[in-house]
Amino acid sequence: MRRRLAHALTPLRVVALAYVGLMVVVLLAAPLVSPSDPLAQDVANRLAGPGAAHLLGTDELGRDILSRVIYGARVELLIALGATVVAMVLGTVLGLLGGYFGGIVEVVTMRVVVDVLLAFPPIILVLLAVTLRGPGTGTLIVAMGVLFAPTFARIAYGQVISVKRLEFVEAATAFGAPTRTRLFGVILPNISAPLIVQVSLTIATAILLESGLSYLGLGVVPPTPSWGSMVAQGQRYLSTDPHVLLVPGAFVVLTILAFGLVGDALRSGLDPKSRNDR
Amino acid sequence: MRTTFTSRLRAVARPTAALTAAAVASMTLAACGGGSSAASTDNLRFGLSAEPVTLTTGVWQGSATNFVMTLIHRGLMTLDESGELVPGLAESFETPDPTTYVFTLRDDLTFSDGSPLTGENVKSSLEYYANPDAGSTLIAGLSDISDITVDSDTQVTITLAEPNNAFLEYLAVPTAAIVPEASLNAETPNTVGAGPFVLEDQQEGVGMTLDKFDDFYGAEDVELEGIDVSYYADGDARANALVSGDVDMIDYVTWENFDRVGSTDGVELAAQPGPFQYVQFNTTEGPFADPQVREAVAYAINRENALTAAFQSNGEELAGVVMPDDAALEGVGDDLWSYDPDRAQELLAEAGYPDGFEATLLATSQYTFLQDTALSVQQDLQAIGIDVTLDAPDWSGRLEKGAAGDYDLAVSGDVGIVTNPSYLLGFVEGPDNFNRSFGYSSPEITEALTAGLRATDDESRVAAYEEAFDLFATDVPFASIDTRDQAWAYSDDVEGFTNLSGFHTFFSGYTLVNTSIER
Amino acid sequence: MYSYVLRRIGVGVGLVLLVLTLIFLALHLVPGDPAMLLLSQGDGASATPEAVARVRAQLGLDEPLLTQYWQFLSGALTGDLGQSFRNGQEVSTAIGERLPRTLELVGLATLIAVVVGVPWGALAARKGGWFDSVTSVLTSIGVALPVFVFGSVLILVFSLRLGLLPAGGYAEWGVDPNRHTQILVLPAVALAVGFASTVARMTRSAVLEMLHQDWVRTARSLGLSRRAVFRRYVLRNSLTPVVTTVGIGVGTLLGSTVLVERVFNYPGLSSLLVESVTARDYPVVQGVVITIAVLFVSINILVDVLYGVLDPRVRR
Repeated sequence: MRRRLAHALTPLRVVALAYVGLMVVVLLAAPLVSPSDPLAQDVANRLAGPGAAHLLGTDELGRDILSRVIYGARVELLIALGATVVAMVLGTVLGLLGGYFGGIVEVVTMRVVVDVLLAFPPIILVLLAVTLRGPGTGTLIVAMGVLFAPTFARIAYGQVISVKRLEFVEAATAFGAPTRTRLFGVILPNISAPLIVQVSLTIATAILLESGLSYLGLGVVPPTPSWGSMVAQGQRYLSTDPHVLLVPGAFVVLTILAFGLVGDALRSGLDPKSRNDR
Repeated sequence: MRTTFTSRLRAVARPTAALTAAAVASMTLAACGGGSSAASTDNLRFGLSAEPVTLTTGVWQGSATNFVMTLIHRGLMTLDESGELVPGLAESFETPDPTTYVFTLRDDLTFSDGSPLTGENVKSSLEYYANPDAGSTLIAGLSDISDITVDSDTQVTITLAEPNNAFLEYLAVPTAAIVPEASLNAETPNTVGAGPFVLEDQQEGVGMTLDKFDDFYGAEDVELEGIDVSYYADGDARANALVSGDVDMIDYVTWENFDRVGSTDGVELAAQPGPFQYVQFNTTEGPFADPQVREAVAYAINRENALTAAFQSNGEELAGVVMPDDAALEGVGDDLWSYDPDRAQELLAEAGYPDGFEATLLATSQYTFLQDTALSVQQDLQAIGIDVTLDAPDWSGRLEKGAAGDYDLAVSGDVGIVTNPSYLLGFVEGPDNFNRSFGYSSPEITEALTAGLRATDDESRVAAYEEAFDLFATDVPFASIDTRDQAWAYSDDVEGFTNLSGFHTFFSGYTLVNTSIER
Repeated sequence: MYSYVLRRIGVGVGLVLLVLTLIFLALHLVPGDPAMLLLSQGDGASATPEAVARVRAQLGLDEPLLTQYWQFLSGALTGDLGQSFRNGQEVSTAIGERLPRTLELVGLATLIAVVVGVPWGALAARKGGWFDSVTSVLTSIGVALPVFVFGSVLILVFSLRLGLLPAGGYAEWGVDPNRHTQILVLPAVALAVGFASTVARMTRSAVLEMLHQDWVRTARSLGLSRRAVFRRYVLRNSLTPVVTTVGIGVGTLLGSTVLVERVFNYPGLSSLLVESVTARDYPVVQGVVITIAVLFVSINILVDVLYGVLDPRVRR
């Protein structure tokens, strides 16, 4: 176990883990570490470059970018984690049921629900959700969660199919464990590794998607800061005041990078078959 | 059993191989297809901010569609390069008395389908636009028509029920086009006109090609051989297309691109104050039913901040109403309010809200300038104790909520169809729509504005408007914020185009008859 | 076998019908009135209620929902997807124009991603060391880069500063093949960066896995050179998972072209979809969604049937 851990933790991955840890601390302590109110406008000092007054400059309404990045991290992670949890719960349940029961249940879960979701162009799902419920954090979490659910469903389904005939499951059946126990108590723990790996990848994807949706005007409602909406707003000033885009953009890239690396670490830590690391 | 999962994966993967094959096939198809019109180098290449909808004359369909109307269509009146009202299809007109207009048409007028344009077409077109059932936006201007008599093929006499000093201006609105009888129904797209250009080819989603119309009455002065219009919905993409030389000219330069476009060598930026922004209210219920609360909002708005936030200061603060460029009306309607948070707070207290209240401000996620204006207003209102939550649906949702009164406050931008102050009537009377204060009407202001519209001498006109705006200042049908500069931009090769000032900026396409391009 | 095929087709038709119904209902639930929108473009004076009512009647929106649904359904079944609310164009024509453009963009991006990604990933796996580390960082950034940001940077550098390529737009191949190709380059590159990174990473790990296989050692012990083993056996055998990744990636690309189409003003299918939702152009939205659903379902059926032919065990 220790060897596998050492194997999984390359220096880069340790840095990534530290980054994620630091991010969590900062966003929890946002009011303490943030230099100013992320919503306070100072139009006279709009689009100021990084300097002593504003460490990372100001945006088009003169709001402090550093404070917005810090508070934006809260929103960003809330959306990304929320969407991932929704996707994981929904997808895993669908995959578990479909894989375990087969037959009509499989048709309904894997064919009807999952395939219908996949047959919709992803953008239309979000577009419809946003136009139906209005833009906002809640809408984004649900819409993106539904969007990512098929991936989890397919992973869970494949895993269930491969473990359900194994001895320990048969044993649980022989001992008369109820279906619920067999599904969630016996099978789920044994198929969770690839699902957990998928979690960190989904978080990374969610952050990227959020920025794209903000660019299309489907993101969080202003003045709430989110990195995606900051990047999207900054895009308009790319040629004149690039820092408005580059600062939140750098955090988007770094965070996705970090979660990707954490995912890699999880994979090598959890999956004994993985030998891709040096 | 692991193979089951991988085979599932392949089931996803496989179709895409087929898709790639389809892609290759379609590339070959695209190669064989090809458009019908070859781009000519003498044509003006124009980047337009939206794809025009199906042309329907009589109806205001937005600035992109209006632009195309200024090219394809003509009415009795038009605007020259200085924005002056001048005869269009009419050669001249006389007004023997304030309610009678005798128009003499130019000789040998022809529609682009080759059929002649006569007095009968003038009568049928204008009568169609004046009929409320046709859904025309010109009703406000044409409803005073009591009779249209065709005296001859080239002479038409129009009689009004009452004097209307905006009437001629309405005839110059691009949608007040004279069109063939066959176009005057809901089904036919109005592509046949008597304007300087003819619609030659349309590629949906991409662009349209217009050719010079040789039988246009002023054809000998039209220098452009044609116009190749491409649609660029995104403001940055549009500016990029001009700066990189992909097009010669664009409409609607977004404000964050003013500096970049303006400072590019070989590119001209022409900006003119255009539409105005304002706060509208839901006056049916809640605090904003009280005029004093509305007045408080009008005093709370920091117009300088709003102008900077939304338009990078490209525009003018507006603390009154937009008035036409008319010497007699100098100063009328200016400065009805000012930025005075203390006064605003007093007004709130007098109205019974010393501690403020909560309200929803409707904006939209689709137009950044409205969103930025809303953010600025939100902060100003917060400062006087009104706790404002932003609601930012997409534009369609904004329209629906606005029309249904599903808001407390909303920010809006608007222009009048005409610069004549009668455009303000739409804000104080008549049915609710998305762009005016919900449930608001004021018979007194309506009466005063109407008196101004009917006035036949300057003195009574000025008096009527002064009365109207006195009422306006305290009843606050809307709280003005600013006017925004509306810019067109073009390469140095383009000569003779003018961005008309005020609300007419959207009719600047009229001046393309004087435009030439030298490469 | 036939009954299996028929059953799959039956399920597929059911799926499409379900998608069709869902999209119809969803669109009519969404707030926003297409008629009002057609008459109000954000800068103009507001439409009169008469005008709105007239346009609603013209578009058939005043009919009861069930009637509209029936008209839509019977139309769709006979291949008639109706006309666009905005410009009256036949929806099938619009899709016929837009789909090939998006496929062309995706095809080119895929080509770039594979041509760059596979050799790069293979090289990283083989060389290891600093090259592998740099690759790992670069591909991570490539995956994390928002496509619209990268696209904007490309425009800034290659169109505005250097003036080498057009900033966007579209030209028909038949009118101007040169320009048609030039216009495609930047959006395809923007789209390919993330994809190439994924392909490179996948290739790298597949190759690594192969290198650890026993038969590689066997081959080496048989006297084959390292290079020959790598070229002849390792690389070829590693490509199966890579092909799967590419396949899934193309599917994702089809969905993510929307941002690139926006940045480069490229009139493809995704931008048509977004524009149409924004404009509440119901017939077009429905048409595009159905097209994509039919494509997805029929190809899935085809693949399943092919598997059935190749592997009798699947037939159950």
